[in-house]
Amino acid sequence: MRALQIAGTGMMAQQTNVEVISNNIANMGTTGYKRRRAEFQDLIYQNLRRVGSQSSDTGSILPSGAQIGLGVKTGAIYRIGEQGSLSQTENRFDLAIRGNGFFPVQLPSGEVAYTRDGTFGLSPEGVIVTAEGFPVQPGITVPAAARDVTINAAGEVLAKLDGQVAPQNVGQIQIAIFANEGGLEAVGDNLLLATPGSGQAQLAAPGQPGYGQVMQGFIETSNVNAVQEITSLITAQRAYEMNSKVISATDEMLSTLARLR
Amino acid sequence: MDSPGYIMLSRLGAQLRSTQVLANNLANADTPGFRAERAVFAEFLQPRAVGNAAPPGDRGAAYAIDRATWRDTAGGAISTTGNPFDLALQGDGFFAVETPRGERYTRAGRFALAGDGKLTDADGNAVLGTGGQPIVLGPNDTRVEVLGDGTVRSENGPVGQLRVVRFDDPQKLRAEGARLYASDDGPGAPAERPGVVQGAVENSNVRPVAEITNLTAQTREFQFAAQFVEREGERLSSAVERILRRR
Repeated sequence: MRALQIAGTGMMAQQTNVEVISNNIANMGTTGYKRRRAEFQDLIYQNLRRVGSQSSDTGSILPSGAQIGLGVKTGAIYRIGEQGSLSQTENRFDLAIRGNGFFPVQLPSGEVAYTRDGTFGLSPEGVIVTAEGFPVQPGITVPAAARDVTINAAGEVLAKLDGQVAPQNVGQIQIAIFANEGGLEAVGDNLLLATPGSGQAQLAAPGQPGYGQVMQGFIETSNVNAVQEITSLITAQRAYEMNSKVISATDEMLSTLARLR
Repeated sequence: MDSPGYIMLSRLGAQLRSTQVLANNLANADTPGFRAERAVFAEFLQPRAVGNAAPPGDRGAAYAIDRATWRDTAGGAISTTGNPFDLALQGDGFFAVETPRGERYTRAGRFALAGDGKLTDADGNAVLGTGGQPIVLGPNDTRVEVLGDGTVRSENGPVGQLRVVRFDDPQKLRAEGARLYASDDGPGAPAERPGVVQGAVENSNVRPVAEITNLTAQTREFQFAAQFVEREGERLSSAVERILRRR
């Protein structure tokens, strides 16, 4: 009985859907988190009567065949890159990107990861680092004597030093964009890695055409929309129930058969 | 010998396969661009007289067979997503994509950019333009616009035009899975009004209410047919018993 397996694939797909939704809801408060959505595809088909085959030796062609689909599978889990809302923190090393782009971060392994989470701080050496202590690329050292630090929309880090009228430019933050942001691989801790699917990172200063701007004293909240997630959760649950209804109906048919005397 | 039991058995088999079609519809209720399918039943007449010519009007047993599956071509609901590469079709056209097996057609306009700037579907198959070439966006094309006629444009000027085709008989398309259809009658004709909508995606046209109602009806019909088989068996055995008793 294929109907049982077909409905089974439907239930599994909806379970994946609920898992994705629950991960979104769990990360509602995660800085820079981008919501995901599960996408489904139909599985293979079985041809009982192939479309376009001849139904007689005089050459009459079947107008439509009999094809039975064998269920559904998860095609992809998309990350939706929509901008999250910005929330003001007044922390001078909290940076948000308004528009496209990611902050490059040097991992201890030497690899470069990318993040939208701009809750930065200073290391003991005065280097701008992420919340985990990984240096933000290119390494920018803020002098210990700096009284105040301003980071402008173009990512320039301006330190106000005692005895100087003009602030000193100690470096410029770069941001990376990708041909296909969806191809980035999430590795947790709000970090993403480049893959062949995402293409090479293209680094430039913030505010260049196609690149977002940096906003100091703000963080980007997750773009999870509670109403939307709850609605999808309800839909997924109902779809799950309907598939289970198919299973119980098929079971009923089978037990009718088994009871035949 | 007349065989009401066998006739009902043909109904039971057809009904089981029809349930599979329905299960597949419900399993794919969330698959973008999916088209619901229905089983079509027909009667298979068995001529009573054996020989070259069955006399007209002398109808024998009519068995049920599920002759074909039929695809519901009504459009699915279009939901907006805001993603620039989500494209929905308002008309009856299909997007053309290049697969290793040849050109295939899809209604699921859930596209994305590959690392080399090619517009692809979820499986990485390149979406084709009017010239049969893939649509390739440059690294500087950040704001992409797709117009109603399928023209793809960025801030650096036009990039190409999506190939949207329509088929005179969409029932002849063969579903291949992964939201793709194959055409055995050659490529379709370019659609005159593609009706491409950017930032939206077409859901499946499965109507759960109809499916569940059909499921209930099918279960009952199946039980009815099974009951008939059972009664028929009882009738036969009691007939045999009676004949035996008369001896």
